[in-house]
Amino acid sequence: MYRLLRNLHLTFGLTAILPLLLFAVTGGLLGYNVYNPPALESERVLTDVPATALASPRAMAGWLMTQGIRGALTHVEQDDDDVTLRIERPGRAFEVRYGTDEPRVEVSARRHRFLLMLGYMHETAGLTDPYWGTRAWGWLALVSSIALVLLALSGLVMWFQRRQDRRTGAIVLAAGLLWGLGLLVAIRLG
Amino acid sequence: MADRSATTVAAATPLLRRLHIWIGLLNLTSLLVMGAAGIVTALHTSEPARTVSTFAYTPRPDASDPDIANEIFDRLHPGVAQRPPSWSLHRTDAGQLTFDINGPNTQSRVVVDETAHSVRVETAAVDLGRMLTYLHRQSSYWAIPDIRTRLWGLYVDLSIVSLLYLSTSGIWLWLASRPRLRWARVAFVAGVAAFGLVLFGIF
Repeated sequence: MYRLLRNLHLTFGLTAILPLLLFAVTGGLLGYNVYNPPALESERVLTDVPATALASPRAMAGWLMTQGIRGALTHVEQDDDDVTLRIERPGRAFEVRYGTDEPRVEVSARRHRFLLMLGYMHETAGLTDPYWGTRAWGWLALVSSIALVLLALSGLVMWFQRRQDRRTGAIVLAAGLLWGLGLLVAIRLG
Repeated sequence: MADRSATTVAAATPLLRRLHIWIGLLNLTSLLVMGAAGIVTALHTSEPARTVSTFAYTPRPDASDPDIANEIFDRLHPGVAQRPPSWSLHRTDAGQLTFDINGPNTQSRVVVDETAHSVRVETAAVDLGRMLTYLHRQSSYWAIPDIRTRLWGLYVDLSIVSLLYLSTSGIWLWLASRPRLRWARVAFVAGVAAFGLVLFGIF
């Protein structure tokens, strides 16, 4: 039993190790508001846009994916022949402007630095996001959250099975429960 | 040289394992709260039920907007909640003062209509899942000025550092004790590949 649990604990931990490290590092960044560099902004003009892309905003978003402008189409504004789109993924936002009568697209990109992008990932649920990358992150974050719960529970059972660590562990566990669970109850009843 | 390294690893591993266990036990509640917050955030897509209440209210003639917000906060007795900071107070086009009262057990939008001498409070139900999600963000930096949330904030601070330790020492313990275990290798490669794919999609 102990051996099986130990292997399961290790398997859960290794599967989720990188998302858990991401949560810990970005939890520190978000939790203390210590890292807020300005976003990097850039402009780009795409020419020779195929006529099929000009047919509709969704067709344009699909074509832009092939040009590296990837994300969920979150906003569409059409004023006669002028169209403005907003395409987003965690830590990245693109504003796209074009006229339906000419094969030219202007793109303003707003890009956060890598660490801050990881912070945006921390705050993104994403399971139902239209963009596959954000959706994939949503599933990985969910699996990692489930793994964290299983790690905690399997760790608890394994500790109890290790006789040599029971006494000190019980004191530490009691202190942790008093601090954590005790405060949760006090706050909920508060 | 290789023998010396092996001896150091062999000597450090029992200590790191014991610390791994103790830190895990001390942080058991926060690890479960963080895991639950992740699950709730991913799966909790429905809007919470809202209730609306109104009561008569006339502000003092010399009251500023922050004074009004503080008076209403005291009158509502929201329990453990953030007193609305002055930057969060807004006036609508119709001149109504609006602000939010947020806390682990409450999420309320308050609208003060001075011409009608009334206050409208729209309160969203905060179930256990939403409460845990709120609390998992409450480090000591963001903690509401209340002794319970301040102590909870310190626990969250500790759990952030602990999660870093548990993750890195977990890798050490794997490599020091069972580096050839097939399950572990497959899990590690699958986890890294999945994370790499996600980063490729987002970066």
